[in-house]
Amino acid sequence: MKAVLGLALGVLTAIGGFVDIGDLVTSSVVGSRFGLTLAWVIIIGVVGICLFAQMSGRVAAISGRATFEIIRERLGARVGFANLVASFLINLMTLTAEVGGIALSLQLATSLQPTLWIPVAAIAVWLVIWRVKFSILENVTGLLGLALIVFAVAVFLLHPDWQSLGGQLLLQSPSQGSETPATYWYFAIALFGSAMTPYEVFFFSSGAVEEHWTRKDLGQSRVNVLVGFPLGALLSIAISVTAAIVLLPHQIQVTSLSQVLLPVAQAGGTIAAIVALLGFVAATFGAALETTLSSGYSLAQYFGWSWGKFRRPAKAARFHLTMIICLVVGAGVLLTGVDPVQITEYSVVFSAIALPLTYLPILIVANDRDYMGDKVNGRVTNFFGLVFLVIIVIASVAAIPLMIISAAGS
Amino acid sequence: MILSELLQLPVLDAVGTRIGVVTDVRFALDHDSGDAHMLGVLIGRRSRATFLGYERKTETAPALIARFLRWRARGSFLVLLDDVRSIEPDGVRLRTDYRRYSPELP
Repeated sequence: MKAVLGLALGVLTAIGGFVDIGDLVTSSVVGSRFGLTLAWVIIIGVVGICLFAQMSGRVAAISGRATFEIIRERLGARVGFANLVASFLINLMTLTAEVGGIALSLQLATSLQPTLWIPVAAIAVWLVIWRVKFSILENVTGLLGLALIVFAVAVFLLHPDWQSLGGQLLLQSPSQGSETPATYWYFAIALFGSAMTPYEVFFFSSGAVEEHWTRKDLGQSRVNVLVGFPLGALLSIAISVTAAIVLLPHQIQVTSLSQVLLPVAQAGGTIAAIVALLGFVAATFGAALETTLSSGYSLAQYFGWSWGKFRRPAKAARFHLTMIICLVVGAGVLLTGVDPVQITEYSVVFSAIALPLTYLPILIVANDRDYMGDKVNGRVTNFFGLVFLVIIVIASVAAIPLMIISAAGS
Repeated sequence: MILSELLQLPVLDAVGTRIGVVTDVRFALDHDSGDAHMLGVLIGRRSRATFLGYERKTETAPALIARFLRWRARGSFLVLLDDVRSIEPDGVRLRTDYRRYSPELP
């Protein structure tokens, strides 16, 4: 019974924890501009993140090494450092977007200025990281994130024209659309980046070390990933669908978090909106915790500092100091008045650009018998692993030119 | 001299012709004491061409990546420390009768 509960908890946490500010904003923006003609990207993205998370979790459980320890060992100090700088900066950008997302969600809930909420959000994230046990912080935010299921409910309450939605899934452009191919592909990469964000993998593999995973835990982790993430992606698609039903016909382009909420409020009134807001706060807060921890994880693992929440802060001082500095920088950037939604839109694209840097070393080490023994990748995993390597490299290389041609999708 | 100064240094043969750069250093572990001692240097045509672990013959998966990385590092060879005449800040010089060994590991 306990095992079943543990399994259910893991899956529910993975579902609720899948969506973050990047998915909220990008799914909604894409739904409001392209209907469901880009939903296929979310599906490809979730297969990719399942593959990547599953490999990095297995490497962590068997070898005891988290992602950046692997990168440093395999790529060497110099190339590893370039990799660290890129990954760390993009993670910091994502962290900033998530903290901004908490502030915007709380603003929607209270109508107090987000500037007032930014320091509150940053301090709350720090306090939780400092005081709360790893398993609790992961499970609570994951479970509360399930409130986003209200988007799936809203799809049915809105009584959509299913035939037209189905047509969009099959790439028939919605009649209102007037987007150029460059914009279409730019947002395809953004959506891909929002599904396959590198921090998810730093967090996942470091979490495996935090929770002392061994060979025995591999089954549970596989179920969490292979069931939880695809169901989480359904929430992402539901957000896109609600935007496609309500916003696209009126040609309202999503530029703020309140517009993401609009279709839910129209479908289910105040109560639905409150539930969705709870989901926003949980999703952004959970992701803020994960990105903040990831900043500490990546730096500490590269430099060989002691790290982990399973150690007392005094025993992992540099790890904790890194996280505090990152939160201060993130909050500082937000206080200058930049729009968190815009930071989010850029952060998902840069995530896609940096993805090969972390993906390739993990793919190589997941095949290394010295590290993995008999738990190396099988043929099927390697086949998909290589297919995704090609997709990831193409997305990474195409991102900057498309950003320039489409003027960042504007 | 520390290891990072040795890596990327140009390698010259006895008459001063450039034959490559140091891409890696091979160590051997002493079974009894557990100490590592330097066995030799790996010399490649280009500084960026490293095996990323595929110098071990047993590592062959994923096949495409293994083949690509081996192809990029083609022409690499191992020179034992005994065949190195001098290591100076501007380059590594080899003896006249140095021998090229395969960089592969069993």
